[in-house]
Amino acid sequence: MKTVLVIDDDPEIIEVVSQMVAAHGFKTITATDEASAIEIVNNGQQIDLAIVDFWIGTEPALKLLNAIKLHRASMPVMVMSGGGGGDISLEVAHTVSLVSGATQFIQKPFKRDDLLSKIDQLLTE
Amino acid sequence: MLWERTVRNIYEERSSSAIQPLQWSILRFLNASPTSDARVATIAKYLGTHHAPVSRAVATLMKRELIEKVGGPTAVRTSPLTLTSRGRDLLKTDPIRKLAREMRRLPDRERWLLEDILKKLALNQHALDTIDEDSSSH
Repeated sequence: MKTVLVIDDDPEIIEVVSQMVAAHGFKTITATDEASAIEIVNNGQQIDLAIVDFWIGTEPALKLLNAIKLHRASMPVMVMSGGGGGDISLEVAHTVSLVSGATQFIQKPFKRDDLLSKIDQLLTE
Repeated sequence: MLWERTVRNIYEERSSSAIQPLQWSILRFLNASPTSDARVATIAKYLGTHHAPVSRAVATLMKRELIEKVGGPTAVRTSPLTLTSRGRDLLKTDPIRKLAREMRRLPDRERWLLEDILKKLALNQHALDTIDEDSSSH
């Protein structure tokens, strides 16, 4: 069974995304802050995909993306964002995510089918 | 000044008939996003700009047959937008590709440094400490 790591500072988003992912047949691991997520990434357990909220609180999740790039270079990463970064546009969040090693970007709010098709695409590439 | 010159050089053609940076951004958005999201309001939100300039740019791109409404010219006003084959072909000449090629030619260390600086500028230095702390680990 594939394992998906879901990171978001909003517990409701974590719950919704985890339910969607679990119903699609994947195991989920979750974290609501960057430090816990980095610990999970660094501890060597099996993770096949990470879904990362771009804004954790008021800061972009660049430390986490950097940790993934360094320690899990081959793991696909989907970054999600719905704004929340002051005057930083989604285009900038998207581009910075890609430069930081993300493989996919999804704009919140998203439809279940859009999320799952992107996950399937990432896990079969 | 060097940075401004670099940015200006990306968009070499500056005649009034040339594709403008905002129009390129719209073409890129339509190329990367699901068709269901491709409406003026969604594009404006994504680009962090107002409805009016996006609406004008969309009208220009439609006039040039680079984008169209899903369902063709008779589709309702709120129909999502999509690239035409001409629009897809034009994206192959996207000036940003030239810059990407130049960046790929840099030695890794220089490219990482440039990427970190660009991230800081793009995020209004939101992530200054974060990047500083980690950039030495590349």
